[in-house]
Amino acid sequence: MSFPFLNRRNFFLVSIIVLGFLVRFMNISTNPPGLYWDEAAIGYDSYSILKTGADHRGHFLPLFFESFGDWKLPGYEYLLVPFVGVFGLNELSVRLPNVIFGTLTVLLVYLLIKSQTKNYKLALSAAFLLAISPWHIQFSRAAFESTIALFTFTFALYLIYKSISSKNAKFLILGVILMALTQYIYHSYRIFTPMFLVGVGFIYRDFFLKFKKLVVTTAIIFLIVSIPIFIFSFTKEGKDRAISQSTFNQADFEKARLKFDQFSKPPFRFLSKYLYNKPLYTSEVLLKNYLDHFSPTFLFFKGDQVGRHSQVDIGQINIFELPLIIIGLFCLKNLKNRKFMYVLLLWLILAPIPAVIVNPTPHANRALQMVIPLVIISGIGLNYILFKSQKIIAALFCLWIVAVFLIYTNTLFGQYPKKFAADWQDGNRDMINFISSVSSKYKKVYVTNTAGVPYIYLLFYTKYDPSTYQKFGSTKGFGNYEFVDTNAKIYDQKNSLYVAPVWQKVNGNLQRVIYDSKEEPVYNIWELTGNK
Amino acid sequence: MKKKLLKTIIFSLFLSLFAFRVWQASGCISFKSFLFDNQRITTNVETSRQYEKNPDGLISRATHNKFTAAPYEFGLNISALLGSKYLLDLIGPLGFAAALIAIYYIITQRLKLGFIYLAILALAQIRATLFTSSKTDMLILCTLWFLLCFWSLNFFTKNSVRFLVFALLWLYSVWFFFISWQMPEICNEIFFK
Repeated sequence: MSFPFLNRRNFFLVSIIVLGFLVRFMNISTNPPGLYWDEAAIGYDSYSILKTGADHRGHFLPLFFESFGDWKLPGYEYLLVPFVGVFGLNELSVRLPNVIFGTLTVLLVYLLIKSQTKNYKLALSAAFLLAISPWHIQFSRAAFESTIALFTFTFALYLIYKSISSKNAKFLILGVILMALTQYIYHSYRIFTPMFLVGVGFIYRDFFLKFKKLVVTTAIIFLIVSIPIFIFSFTKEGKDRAISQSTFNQADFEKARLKFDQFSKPPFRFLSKYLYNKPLYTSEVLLKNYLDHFSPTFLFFKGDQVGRHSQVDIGQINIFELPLIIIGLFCLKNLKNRKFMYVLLLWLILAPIPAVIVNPTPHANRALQMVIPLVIISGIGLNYILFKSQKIIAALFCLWIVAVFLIYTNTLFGQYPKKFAADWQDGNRDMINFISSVSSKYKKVYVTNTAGVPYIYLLFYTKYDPSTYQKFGSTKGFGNYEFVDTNAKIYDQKNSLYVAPVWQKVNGNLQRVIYDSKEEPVYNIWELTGNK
Repeated sequence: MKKKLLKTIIFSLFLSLFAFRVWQASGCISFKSFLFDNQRITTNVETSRQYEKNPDGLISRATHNKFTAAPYEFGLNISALLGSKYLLDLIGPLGFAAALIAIYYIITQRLKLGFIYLAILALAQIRATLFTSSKTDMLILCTLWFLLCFWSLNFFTKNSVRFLVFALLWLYSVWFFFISWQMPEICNEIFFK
């Protein structure tokens, strides 16, 4: 069989990439249904940098961005600036980098495996499985930093391998710089990347020992690039989020020990302070958290229980990958490139570690880096079934893949926006479109802050001038907008509009009810009449 | 001779760990049931349809029906019995590690008896989801998982480092069983023994 412009191998590769792109790109403005507040903040900060050179809080070209309860790393925010410049400030531009880099990761997986195994069928199998991976698709369809970080990491690894095969120092230096930069894109990589590099260094010690000077130079480059993030990690801002969600939390330990004491009888009650000590307790929690990421329920049936991180009723990876992973694990030793096999295993073993030290677990976003070794191992299994087993088995397996993929796409495009509207804070766009169209008629527009941080949505959807906001605005209000608690004394106000939560009874004239994609009311918009 | 002695020690330690857990479990007055509920299939289909744009449409009916929901729900039930939390509560960290080594050993060495044993274990998991005898299920599964661990004896007796790892894991497992005496993944209500 021949194709007019492409050979068979490239035809399959292009088809896989197109499929991967389509399933990541279709309806991204409206599915996920709403813009989560982190996405809105990232988008508006990039817009603000484009217009003023400073983030919306007025910090000029910051290295770390203050967000809601944590600090964001700069990678995604700066990468987004040209997208916002070209496509404007909207859902599409905020999510597009992940669609593009998510799709490019599929290509990178192909190139990485092809370069290391010289087996293009295996490379195509793994690329195909990544293209239709629910885990990777989920994080490629919204502004999650983890997707860009995974792309950068995989690209860096590809370059390092290229330097090993071509003995070209430039690739190694570039690869190591990119590895260091992953730490500026997503928090997980501040732990994962250094551990992985040490592991790779150990696996390829024979090679690296031959080029000691080069290795020392690249290590120094890595350390220099990592200095700001290293310093940041020890500041209050750098530790805030990690401390608040830490597994090593003293309060959780005390709670667990008290519970143990309450339920135990003497003499164990009195022995508990010796037996139930913190290092052992922490080791138990870490062990359980770590193994959670390999639990079949998480991987194949239920996934992460946060609606933004998975389809919840579908596993992180496709159910047909269960036999593929089992076959793949036992065929791994047949890989001729033993060192690459060790790197894959190292990658898989280290990947959940950043997610283990903070709660809750299992966490699909913090452990996204697991997805690549998993698809490669599944790819080995798929390759075995397609090309080394009987044709009837291969055909039946293909049918199973098609059926699972159809069910998944139906869930993704047909049900997801409705099912997880609340998880994505859907309704804010419609609310802001309405109030911004009528706000000029009112002296004041009050917006409830019960749903979080409405100011960022107003900034985002009205494309509010960043320099004006930096000078005169605050999270309490700007222009004629004011953000209030539900017990704020605003009912004596006339000529005002109040965006209230649906459960709040307000004396006024109801102007509009805002619904989310599930057709649940989210806000009631009232015109205040001045009657208390 | 030395290897035989090590094997005997490891065997005895495994046995003591197993006996300790079973003794602890004897205080349980209500074991957790993993019985499969047929209603879940109907609920699954109905819930899925509820979110469909066109619930009576061809795609909806083709992708969300009892035929697709049944294997999912049954698989989900079984996966709970293979979950890391459940297995840690049942056989402890040492048992978990030993079971993984044993499975690897059986498959790589292509041991016929081992495969039969794994099939029996799989049947026991299915049995636990089909019949209402949660205490018996727990005892059967605990026994079968511990017996599986004996295939890892050779691994731990190969050198002194591995034996040391075994000893540390054994101590850790005793401590683990001690503090998780309430067996939250296995038992709903337990009396202190």
